[in-house]
Amino acid sequence: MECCDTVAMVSRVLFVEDDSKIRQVISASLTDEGFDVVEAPTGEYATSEVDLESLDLAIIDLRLPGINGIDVVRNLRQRTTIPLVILTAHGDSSDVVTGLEAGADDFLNKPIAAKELVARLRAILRRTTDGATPDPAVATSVGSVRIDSSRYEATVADARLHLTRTEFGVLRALVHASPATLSRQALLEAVWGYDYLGDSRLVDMQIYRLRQKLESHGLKEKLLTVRGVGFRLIP
Amino acid sequence: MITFTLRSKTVFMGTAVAALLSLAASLSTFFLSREYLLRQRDEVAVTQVRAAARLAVSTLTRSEDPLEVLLSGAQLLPGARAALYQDGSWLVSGVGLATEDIPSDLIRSLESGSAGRQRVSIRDESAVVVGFPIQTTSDTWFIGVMSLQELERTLSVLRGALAIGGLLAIVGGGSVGWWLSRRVMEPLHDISSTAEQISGGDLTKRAKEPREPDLARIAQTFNEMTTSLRARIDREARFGAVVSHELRSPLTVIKGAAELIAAKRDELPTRAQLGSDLLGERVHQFERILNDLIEMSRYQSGGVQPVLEELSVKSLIETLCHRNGLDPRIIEVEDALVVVDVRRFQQVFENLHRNAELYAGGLEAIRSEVQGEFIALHFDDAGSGIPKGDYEYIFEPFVRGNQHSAVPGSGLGLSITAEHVRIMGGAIIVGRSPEGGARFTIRLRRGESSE
Repeated sequence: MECCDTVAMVSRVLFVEDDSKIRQVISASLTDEGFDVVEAPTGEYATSEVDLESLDLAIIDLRLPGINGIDVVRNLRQRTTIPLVILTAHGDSSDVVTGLEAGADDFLNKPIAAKELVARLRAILRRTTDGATPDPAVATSVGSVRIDSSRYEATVADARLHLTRTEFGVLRALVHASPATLSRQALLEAVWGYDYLGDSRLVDMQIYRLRQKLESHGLKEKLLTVRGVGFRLIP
Repeated sequence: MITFTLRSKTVFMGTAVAALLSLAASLSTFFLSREYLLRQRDEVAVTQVRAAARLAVSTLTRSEDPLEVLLSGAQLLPGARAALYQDGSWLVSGVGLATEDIPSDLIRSLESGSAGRQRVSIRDESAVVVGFPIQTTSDTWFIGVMSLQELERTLSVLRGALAIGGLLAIVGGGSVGWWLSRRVMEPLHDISSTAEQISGGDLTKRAKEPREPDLARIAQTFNEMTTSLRARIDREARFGAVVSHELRSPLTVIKGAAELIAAKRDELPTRAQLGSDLLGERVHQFERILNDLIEMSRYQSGGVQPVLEELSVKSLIETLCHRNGLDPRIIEVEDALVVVDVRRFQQVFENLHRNAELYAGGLEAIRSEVQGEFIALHFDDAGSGIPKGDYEYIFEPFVRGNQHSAVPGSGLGLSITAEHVRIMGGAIIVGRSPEGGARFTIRLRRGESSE
């Protein structure tokens, strides 16, 4: 099975959802598919009781009583680099943009189907944990930017660039492609595992964040937007 | 038939009323002035000729010479002409006066011994002729002919002035009509353009309230109506949103439970397998209807923002055909960039594909045609076409063909498709394919880079 070939270890997933029945049924499906699920009934529980170190990914429902989903995303994003997936009422709603701005890497619409969820999680995990064996044929640096795929680390002139897994994935794809331009679709495929048709807002948000981090290391106009085409990292 | 706008009618009425009033005023002014001036002139003429006649009389007592008599009188009438009739013969002083010019009525009056006055036209020149019988001898008359040319000139200037005044009044009347109509029509135009925007779906628009209390009332009433309409639509949209949101949670559980059962399908007895299959199928259908309702309620409540990007239409169609298990040989699409919201385009494609599958034996061809700044995508199905009478209604919500009532669906698919295409800046129409099936054509904007 695909899961066991590509995700060798059991992936540990945090599922933040206030509806106990939904939690129960989705957890059961995920467990059946080989995931280790940590259930969190509230935002408070997710942010204070869960050991983030052991997690590979988190799924957060945005409508939560008490601390809302956006704040949970913001809190987790400050403390971990793992992919954060939000559950929204509608792909069109402002929730998506707010969630992505708060630090989420991807979103899923409700009602979620276990099958779709599993496929989505596998794609994300595959793209964010497959860096252990770097291909020696592809570039690992562009100018002063250097990436180390085995440790998910990037440096600018030997100074560490603090990136989330998704941001690292975007940077890695851009470094590998440089000096060529990568389209949004190519980035969606390389980083999110969408086969071509994904939401371009996902890419735009990560590019925005990555650009800010590069700029804070003095690299202005390093990551260019090529209008109507995509993005390019210049040496 | 030509219909005139209220505004042109008001301008016309203003002009017509101004024209009538100024015509009446000009004519009466002209004729009254003319009458008054003529009467004045007549009186002056009578006084002058009387004085001249008296002088002639006094000369007559001293001299027998008629010429001397005539000239003594005429000297009191500078610039005028004079005539003397004595014992059957005429003596005339001044150029351009013949004895035939003396009107016969005046002569008859003088013959009867009384003075007379008459206006005449002597060789296109109007004049007043005044005659006095000189009493000392019979049949001797002194006649003065005073020209009215000066007066005619004055009257002609007056006529010109009145005509200019009249024209100005007409223009003024028209302008006032135009200004008044503008004043009245502007708020009404504002209300009607606001109404158009509102009917186009923007319920946040309000008509400007004009300063005139009467017109302000119309705008206020209109705005109140819009506000209550919006509140009502919002309420309905909220109801739809709340209901669909509330249905989502139990549906997630039902769907998850159905999937858990389906995952162990092989371990179930045959009857339970049937139950699991039916459950899975109906849950899927329920989810689709619920999604359609949510999508529609979002469009109804307004404010939907598309996420637009430029993509290759060929790759897009190829990917979607592949995803939906369609034969790639049906694709006859050229390579061009198209402006789309990927999620919506995908839904448009899937709706048209599903419709074709359910009602018309599937899609037979997907063709493209560049039309200026747009690209038309034709989705041609293998059915026998849609009756022309249905073209108009087919995109309305909850419209489904009678023969299709057994096919599951919300009846919202095509209206959501139309809304999706519209929000992407395009349009959808239905027609007939060259093979005789139904043809759904979506027209989308081409990407800038493709021009």
